[in-house]
Amino acid sequence: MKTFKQFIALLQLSSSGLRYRLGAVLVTIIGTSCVVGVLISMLSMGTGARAMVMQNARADRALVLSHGAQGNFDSNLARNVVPIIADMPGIKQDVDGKPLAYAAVMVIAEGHKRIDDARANFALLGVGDKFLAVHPEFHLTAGRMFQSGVRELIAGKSRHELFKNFEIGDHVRLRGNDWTVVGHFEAGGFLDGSLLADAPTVMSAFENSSFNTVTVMLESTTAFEKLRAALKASPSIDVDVRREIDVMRELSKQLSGVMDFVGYFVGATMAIGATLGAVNAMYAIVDSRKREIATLRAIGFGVWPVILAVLTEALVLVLPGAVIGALAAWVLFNGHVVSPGGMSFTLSVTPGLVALGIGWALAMGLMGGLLPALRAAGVSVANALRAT
Amino acid sequence: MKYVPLIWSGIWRKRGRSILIMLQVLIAFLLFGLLQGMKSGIDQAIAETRADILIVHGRQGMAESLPLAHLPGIRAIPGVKAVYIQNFLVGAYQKPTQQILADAIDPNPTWAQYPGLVVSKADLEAMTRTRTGALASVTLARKYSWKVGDRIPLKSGLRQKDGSSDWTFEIVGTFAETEHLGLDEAILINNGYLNEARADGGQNTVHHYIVLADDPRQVSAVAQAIDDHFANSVDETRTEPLREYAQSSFQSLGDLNFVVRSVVGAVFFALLFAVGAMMMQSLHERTPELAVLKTLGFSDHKIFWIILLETSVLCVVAALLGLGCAALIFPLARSYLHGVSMPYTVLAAGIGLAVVLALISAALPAWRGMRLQVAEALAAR
Repeated sequence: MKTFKQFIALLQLSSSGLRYRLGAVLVTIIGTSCVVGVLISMLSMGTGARAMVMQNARADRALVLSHGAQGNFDSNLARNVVPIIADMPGIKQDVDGKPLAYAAVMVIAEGHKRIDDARANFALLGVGDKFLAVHPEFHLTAGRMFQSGVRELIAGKSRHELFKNFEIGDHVRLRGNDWTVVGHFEAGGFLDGSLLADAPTVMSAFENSSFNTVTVMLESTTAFEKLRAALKASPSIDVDVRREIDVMRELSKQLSGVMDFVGYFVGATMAIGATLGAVNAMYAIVDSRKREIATLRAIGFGVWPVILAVLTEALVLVLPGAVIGALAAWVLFNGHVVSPGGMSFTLSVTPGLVALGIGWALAMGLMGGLLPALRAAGVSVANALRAT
Repeated sequence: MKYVPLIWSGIWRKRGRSILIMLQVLIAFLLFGLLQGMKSGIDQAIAETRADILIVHGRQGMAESLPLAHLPGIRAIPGVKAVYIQNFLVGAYQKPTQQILADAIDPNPTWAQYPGLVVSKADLEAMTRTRTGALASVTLARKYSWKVGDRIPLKSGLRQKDGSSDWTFEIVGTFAETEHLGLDEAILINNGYLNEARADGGQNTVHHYIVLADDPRQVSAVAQAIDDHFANSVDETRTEPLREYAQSSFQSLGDLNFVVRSVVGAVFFALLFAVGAMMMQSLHERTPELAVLKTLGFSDHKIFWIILLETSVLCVVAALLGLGCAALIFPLARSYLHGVSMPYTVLAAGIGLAVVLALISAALPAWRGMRLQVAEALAAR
């Protein structure tokens, strides 16, 4: 109890003296806000990419790829295996008893960004007729659906918003053929970055004889094992099946891995620098209060309240910095659309990121306050009072 | 020179504080060196891309293939020294994670003069003789201990006409790259074989053409001539100097410039305050000493310069150490960004920045020191 009282008294003392130590206070606050601001801004990129990819990824939807394929592009499924896959158990059926499964063929298309005319590649997906039933999150925002047998395509949200020449009625030239944009769609997630068209039309235009993937809607999330076992047991096909949510999680790891690494690296390096600054500032504060601390010790204050009070002061000083940094990151970058390569996502400063930033700052304060606190505790009463 | 001891003792007046601030400056410049070095390194790599190479691809971009039949047309354009076809097959060797790029080429003797590639005429001839022959990069040959005569099975998403997805190539020789061409972990295979065996309808097409021009100054004219030649055909081309192509592919990494500028800006903003506050604190403690110096006859200006110099020495030395650390760490980053090295301009810019940092942060304390009134300063004691 005595310790606590002394601790409170010390805190009151140091807070009343803060304005005389404006330099040290500012160094700590500004240092922390820069670190937290940069850290949160850089990590918001990875968070945004993850959120974009994971949005609408489902555990009851699965992707069938050829055995050993690393992704959609190197997967290859012959036409005749598609009906075999669709007839497997575990796949949900519509009212007519037809399986909710469609085969997709993927080709690369290219466009120019509106903002700087930079070129980027993205996927043109040729999809089968059960596409709509398997993707209930899909809806048209303008125009109409493509018709089969005609070279028509619809463009995803980020595709037509960020790239030129994907307005309704525009003609897009692909592999020597003109395709007409007839609609815009939004599905939330990875699909928004692609163009969609009718699978047979895409296959004939691109002289492609096989599909890349089959996407199926499962009866339930637990039906996945049933489907996998059935596919494994089938002698006529050699395929892998993966839950959509797992595929997307892996994809998001690849996407945000580099960004997160750079963010944490820069954030950690800056934090070391700013912590050194905080150590210096806290040393300066402790030094300027040497006599004060010695006097308090002389009249009976213990060592622990002094250590705790200095540590608390350091922690309290980094907090406003963390808040300023987080606020700056949020104001400047939250909702900002970036499109590295052919992708597009919004930077998102989430509460989780803000919490991380504040935690980061508190760790800096703790490290920065520790040595000065020990020095304050070690002040020799006689020497400090004798010195002028 | 006689002020050196004075500046020296000023810096080490409070050893702990100076070391901490120097570490802080060091870390800031380490970050500057790495980020700015990365950016400048990329710019430099683009600038060093050979000026006499052109890349010819479909009008819609790299996604679109071109007919093999364009070859004689391109070759006939004035100013074209040599034309190379490029097709690609990606396959997994032994396990799915070991992806190998097979670059399908026409192994004619002009490959001996392909920029940045070292390959012997004998190996090229061996490849011509063996239909399924392949040249392995020395890196790959060492990695998997391949010898001439070894058969390499690749499992690819691209099927053969017989429905098989297994492709087998026979190693007949090796090649090495002296510039970064992206072929370090690749094998060269016969396009004739790939062309005939593939089942995907890509027969008689190529991914892109590489054109070597006679005169680097004429590349734009040659590019225009090639595109004009194929204008209004079913497969229109777009020809770009490789340098421009490299530029646009680095651009797709995102706005690196903006990130580097923001981070460096934030770091230096914080540093400015830290160094400034430290100098103010130091000056505050040294008021009596400065008054004594003035009493001894040091002019106001000399005091001003001594304080500025003290800060500059501290900042520049720490900055040099930081940039040195960055130069040591930099080779690690090269595994992510091929062909990028840290240019000396970054070093010069760093030193310049350190001086600017010192001057700005020490300006106020130095000015205060200059305006110090001897009587007041001594009286305050």
